Amino acid sequence: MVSAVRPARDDAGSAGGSRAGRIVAALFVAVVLLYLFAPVVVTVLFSLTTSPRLSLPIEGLTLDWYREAFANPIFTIALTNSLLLAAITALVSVGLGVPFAFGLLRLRGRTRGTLVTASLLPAAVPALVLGIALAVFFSGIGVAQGLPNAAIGHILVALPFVILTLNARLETFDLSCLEAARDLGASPWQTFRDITFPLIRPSVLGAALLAAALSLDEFVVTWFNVGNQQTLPVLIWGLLRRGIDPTVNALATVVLLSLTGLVLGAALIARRRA
Amino acid sequence: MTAPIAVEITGVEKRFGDHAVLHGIDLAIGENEFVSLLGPSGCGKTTLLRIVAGFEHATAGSVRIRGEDVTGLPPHRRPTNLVFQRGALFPHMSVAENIGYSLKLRGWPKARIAARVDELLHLVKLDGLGGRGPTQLSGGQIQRAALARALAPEPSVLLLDEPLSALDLKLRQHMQLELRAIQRALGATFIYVTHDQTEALVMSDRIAIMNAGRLVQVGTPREIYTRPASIFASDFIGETNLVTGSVAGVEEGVVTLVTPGGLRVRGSASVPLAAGSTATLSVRPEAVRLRKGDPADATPDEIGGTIAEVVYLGSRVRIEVAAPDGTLLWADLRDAETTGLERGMVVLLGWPADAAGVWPGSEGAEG
Amino acid sequence: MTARPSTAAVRQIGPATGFFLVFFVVPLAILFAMSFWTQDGFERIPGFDLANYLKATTSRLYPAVLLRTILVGFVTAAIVVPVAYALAWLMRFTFERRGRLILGVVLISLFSGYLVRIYAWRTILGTEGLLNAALLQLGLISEPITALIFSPWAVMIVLVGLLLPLAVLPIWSAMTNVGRDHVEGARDLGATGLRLHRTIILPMVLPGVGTAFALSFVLAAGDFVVPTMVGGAQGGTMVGNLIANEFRGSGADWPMGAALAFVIMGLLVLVHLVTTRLLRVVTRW
Repeated sequence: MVSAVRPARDDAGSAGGSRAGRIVAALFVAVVLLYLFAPVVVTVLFSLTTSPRLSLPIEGLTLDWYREAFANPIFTIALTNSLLLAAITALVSVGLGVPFAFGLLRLRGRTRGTLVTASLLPAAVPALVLGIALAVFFSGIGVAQGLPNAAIGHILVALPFVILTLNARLETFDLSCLEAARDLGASPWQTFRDITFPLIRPSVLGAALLAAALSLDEFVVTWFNVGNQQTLPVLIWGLLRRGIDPTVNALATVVLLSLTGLVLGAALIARRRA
Repeated sequence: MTAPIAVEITGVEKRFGDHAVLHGIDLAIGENEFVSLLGPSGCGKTTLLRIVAGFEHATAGSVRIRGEDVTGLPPHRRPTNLVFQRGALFPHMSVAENIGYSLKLRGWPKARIAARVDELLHLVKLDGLGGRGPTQLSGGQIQRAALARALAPEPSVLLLDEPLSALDLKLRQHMQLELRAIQRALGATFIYVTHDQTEALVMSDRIAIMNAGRLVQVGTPREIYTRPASIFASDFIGETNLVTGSVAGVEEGVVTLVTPGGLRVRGSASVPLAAGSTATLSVRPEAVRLRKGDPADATPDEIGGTIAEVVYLGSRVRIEVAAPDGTLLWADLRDAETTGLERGMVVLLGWPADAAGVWPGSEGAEG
Repeated sequence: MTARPSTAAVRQIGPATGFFLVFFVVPLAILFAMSFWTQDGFERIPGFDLANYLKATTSRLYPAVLLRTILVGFVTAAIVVPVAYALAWLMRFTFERRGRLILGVVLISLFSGYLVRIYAWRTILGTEGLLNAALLQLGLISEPITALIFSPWAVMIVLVGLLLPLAVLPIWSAMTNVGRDHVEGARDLGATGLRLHRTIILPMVLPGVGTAFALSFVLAAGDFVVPTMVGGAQGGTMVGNLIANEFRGSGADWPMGAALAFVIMGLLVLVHLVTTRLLRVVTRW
């Protein structure tokens, strides 16, 4: 879809100007998107086909795999645990991240930059290393593996991203609004209630959904710390290790839909704010 | 000052770590007075304003408002309100909600708030725009709304932190007059921070010039313009010719300076000057007279020179004259006075000795 | 008028900082200390012994796996970063407003399930997988290609898909600082095509490219799920598998696993430093 209004000038990029260039560019993007979404499409497709083994052409459609997956008693436990972890992760990482991002606003450029970079470090360390380090730590202080350990791991994974998004949003936050409120007679609490909170609510909600999504999808750190407990990814991993099981596709689709819902929700909230 | 004192700043100092931003500021501002704090960026004027508002705390000294010591009070307990540089309107509230916010905090009934908001909207000429959001306002409208919001709780003193600096020149000039009119109509005390000397001249009852954390001079616009207390003040307010040289002699208050190139200029000494010391003379371009003539005909008050440039400025014409030692001096003349003056022409220029001030030190030195 | 770091700032930053210290810095420090311990049977013996590091670099198994890990990580990053760069460029300057939508779609794939995407690739690449089936049906091949799966290639194919969206983000955000006027200015001065990118655009977005490279390199080399699922027993093992086995496998040896983790992280930092240095030289005109 090349817009006809735009004048055909050689304005940007090797593929920018000419019509042929735009077609090449569009093809490139299409191939990349196909590459990214092929696994997703395959998963959803095979969660709905009758044949338990994949084969082409597709023979028939069914919801049996979903029924079977949901009938698995472990599924309910895993789902509950996953939702619990997601909620805790969202709450705690936002609870830690919001004050942190506001504290950063009060700091000077250099200190601030260093702190932002430092807070992103956990995201730059392979989850495997985070997972084993936490496992060693908890075993060292004598805490048995379990859901609380996994929750700590999820917060550790989510917090850098929460700080990153909040920090980016707060850069446009006008601190003099808070001073104006104080100046007009608002106490610190009234300032928070009337000005700060309404202004940051969308960003905070977005960050919380992002944290929930990261938690829901977290496998590696969980696997090293959760012990015998179940979460959806841990359940899926177990099924995968056991061999072909078409209920996996159904479970995966459930996870996929919840993740997409959370992320789209976060995006919509961010958009409405702008 | 005969009027009762609204704000009394006594010995206020401010240090950030080892760095002193304000050194012992003393300033008394009368009721209903419009006082500008004028100075280059970094001179401490905004810090001083924020100390009065309560956002910064003085390292030493005190601030009294209508006799009450407010030095330790937080901003929301002070009878001052601040108009911020960029308005700082609450983006999630309408203009009316912004203006009424302080009244709502004070527990006013809704109807009374609405009436007061309408009154203020009318005062700042935003009638009918109360329902708009801040993003739907122009730059000038934002500052009007911010002004109305700050006036709503009827502060004893209104503080304004360069509220017009983000506006373009035409709008700024218009708003200056309007602000002045509102201040007169309300009979309120305004403290106005600006780095724009024209703005300060246009609006103020008195101007307090600040430089490097100190008050340089406090006075009416006329006093400051015609009798600047230092080289800095004369250079910062209006335009001026500065000539630095050594003191050749002092006679009945008239100083003669000799530049390194041998040019002799005369002016009146503001402070006693020792012969042989370095001093700087300041003379306004409009005080400089100019006539055609040969340097041989020069009176002791005159200098010979060559016209280097003639610049037409509309209501006046600026003539730039190069003295024999290379010193460049400006003379501002009315258009009619300049007929026949051209580049390269040899002229005589001079000024009454009492129109030029002389201070010790050289141009760049602290005043 | 900069605000001083007040007690308020410390109070706000404190909790998150404390969390990172307790659950990130301390565990990593403990893990590092443990890498110098030794293990005898099921008993871990505290001490300071370089035996694990010696084993990691001199034994028959480890160096080969380390080298393969670095290679797989590097090649993955070397594929991911240029593609991400091209995407960011096209989204910003060719598709303009539609670019944001494309970015959104790319990012959604980031949240389509980590395990699921890896597993689905097995369905696609397997010997009886979709790709082989399609190729067979089209008559392009007469026998399934077995090399598609259980090889370092399979690992890289999957990793590229996993990491591409992540790499687009930093490059895109760096690219938003590049204005149309920069591009037009450079064109006007005679920088076109590759030269425009090498001498103007790439240096401007270099921090973003560096971050993208580091992220994809480290996360690719540190992954253990992908090689477990599609890497195969012989050719596809990576350090992540070995480390994971030392922690959750049968003959678990935590000190050895810890040492391997720090060896691979050290190597990653080293390779990354060299690469960014090289990149800076290349972009100098």
